[in-house]
Amino acid sequence: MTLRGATLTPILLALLTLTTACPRELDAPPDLVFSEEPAWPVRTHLPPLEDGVVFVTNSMEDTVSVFALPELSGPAPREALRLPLGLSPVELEGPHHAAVDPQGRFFYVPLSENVPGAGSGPHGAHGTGTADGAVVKVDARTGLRLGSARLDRSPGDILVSPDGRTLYVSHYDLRRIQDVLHAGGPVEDMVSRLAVLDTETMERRAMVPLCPAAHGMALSPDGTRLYVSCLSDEVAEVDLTQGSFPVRKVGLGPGAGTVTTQHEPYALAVSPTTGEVWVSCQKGRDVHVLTPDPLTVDGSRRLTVGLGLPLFGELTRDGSALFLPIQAPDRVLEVDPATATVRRTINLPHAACTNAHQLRLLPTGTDALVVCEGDRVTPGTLVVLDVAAGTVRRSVPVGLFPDYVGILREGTP
Amino acid sequence: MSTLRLPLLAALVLSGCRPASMAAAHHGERLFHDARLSSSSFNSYSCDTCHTTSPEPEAGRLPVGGTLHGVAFRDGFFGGAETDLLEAVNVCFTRFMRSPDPLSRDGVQSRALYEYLVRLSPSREPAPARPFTVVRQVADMPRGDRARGEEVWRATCQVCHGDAQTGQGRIGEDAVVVSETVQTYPTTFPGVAPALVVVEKVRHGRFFGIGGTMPPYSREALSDEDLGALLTFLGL
Ligand code: HEC
Repeated sequence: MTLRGATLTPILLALLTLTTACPRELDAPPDLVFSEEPAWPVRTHLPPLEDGVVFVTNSMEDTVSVFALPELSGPAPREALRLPLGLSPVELEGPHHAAVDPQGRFFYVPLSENVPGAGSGPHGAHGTGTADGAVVKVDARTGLRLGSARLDRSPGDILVSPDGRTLYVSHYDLRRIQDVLHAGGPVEDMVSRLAVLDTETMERRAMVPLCPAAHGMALSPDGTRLYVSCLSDEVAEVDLTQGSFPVRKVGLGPGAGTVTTQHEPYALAVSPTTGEVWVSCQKGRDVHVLTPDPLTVDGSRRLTVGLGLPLFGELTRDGSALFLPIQAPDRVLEVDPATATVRRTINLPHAACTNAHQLRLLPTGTDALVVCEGDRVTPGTLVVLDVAAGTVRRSVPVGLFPDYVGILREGTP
Repeated sequence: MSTLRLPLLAALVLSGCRPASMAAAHHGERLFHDARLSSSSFNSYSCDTCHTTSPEPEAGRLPVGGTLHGVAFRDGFFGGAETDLLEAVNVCFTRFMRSPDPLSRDGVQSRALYEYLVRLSPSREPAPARPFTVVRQVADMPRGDRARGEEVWRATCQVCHGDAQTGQGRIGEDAVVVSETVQTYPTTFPGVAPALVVVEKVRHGRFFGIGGTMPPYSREALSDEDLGALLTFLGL
């Protein structure tokens, strides 16, 4: 049978109409029948925030080790999950430290792009701190990324304001110092910036020039001042009450404001009662005390550590003791804040802790958590320390080169 | 009614622009094969450019992204570096398919795509992430068999690059003619073996500061042996 003339034309026309007038194949037909509810279910869940969640950033493997807080007081604490973290599932981005939303809803992790052995090829080596860093906002219940922002190179430490609205990130850009030294440039060119971000939008509010290789940060008890350690033998004090974020710097010695240093401040802790600032220095292996309003070095109190590096410690809520981790040989010092002298030394056995990095007191007040970096080839550890007895309760392996422990708790700052 | 109008109307009614109803998974399958899923006018990839869907390897294909059979119930993706399926899909969607916006959890298209991925996962059994070993440090490797190299080219590179020498059949203008590009390496990378630049591109794709839209090949997606054979085929 053949089609011809009068019958063929309308059919062709009809076909033509079909192909042009119908929606493009890509457009969803209006009557789709869905059978999966919900779509794309979120399958990752962190332990319940009501009971508290402890997390550790593993800086050499782009993960976070997550624990239920009650688990850590049990006989054999187990990691609830190891959450991958970052913006790229292919590259190592070096999560470095973290900050916790005061209501426990989110946490924020800077990505340093500073990861030894991250990769190499004809396009160059990666993880050397030459790429810009970033910060990611993570949902504390699901681990989902809620936002991110670009930063300068080598983000260092991070803090959230007590109202949860503002994020502060310092930059520990040693490469910048090397480059400027190499080119014979002035110290002003070595200055790193403080990023001030809106946590809601993750947009930058300000980039405030601070000092060369800024790192550790802490807030004054009333939240109006931000203190930042500077490699240049200084502590920077940022006035957070003014939109222009004016910066005042206080020197720790003759090298202040230069990179011909004696002390090299690296970490900070603030007393919740006196507002005094305790500054751990890497080169000087010493700890300086500054009194607030106006920020001034108290020359009468200084702790010299001797062997080892003083790092990120914490004062008790009543301000009666500073617990300070010292790296290699690894130990925790209990320091009397009134005199800056050591009351007690708690040794951390090598098998339990290699390269202590940060100490965090648990809300109970009787225990503390210490993050130990490990040897960067095998896993580091999270140590539960019985502070009163001065003994290690437990040591739990985490990921590669852990460098921060934080506690998430619903509704409690 | 004229003879012209009747069949026209009938055709419209019978085949219908508006089918009575359609399973969302069926629409999702179309999207899976359609590059227009991404609104970028520069995109020429669809999901099937890089993925197969069957449980068994398909003859003549070594897809860079592997099979998506069972994907909806895997614990992780990219070797576990992503734990959320939608975020994993969005890695491809925004970085390779250049979509300015990620797929949302509740969009109609994205939900349809999800239903298709569920259909590709009939057992609904949770499964571990498939291994995805990133080759971080790029190094040269022994050369292999030329014929195998040609097989590998056809099975995995050709879908984007077309013919290795002429680029004929390539997926889009930006998928370079590989043999031509390789000839520029002695000037762009003086002192570096051109083979090493190819190995780097294959292993790192658009990542590690290289840029572009080519996906990286994990060790599981392409063995060093097959890459060595490919280098022989490319005359490197
Ligand atoms: C999904 C598509 C896709 C596949 C599969 C793919 N490529 Fe590519 N490739 C591209 C695109 C697009 C470019 C252009 C640069 C870019 O966007 O990354 C490219 C660029 C290249 C380049 C040039 C890089 C330069 O120096 O600019 C080489 C070499 C290359 N591909 C080799 C391969 C080989 C070998 C394979 C198979 C093992 C392969 N590609 C598979 C998409 C693909």
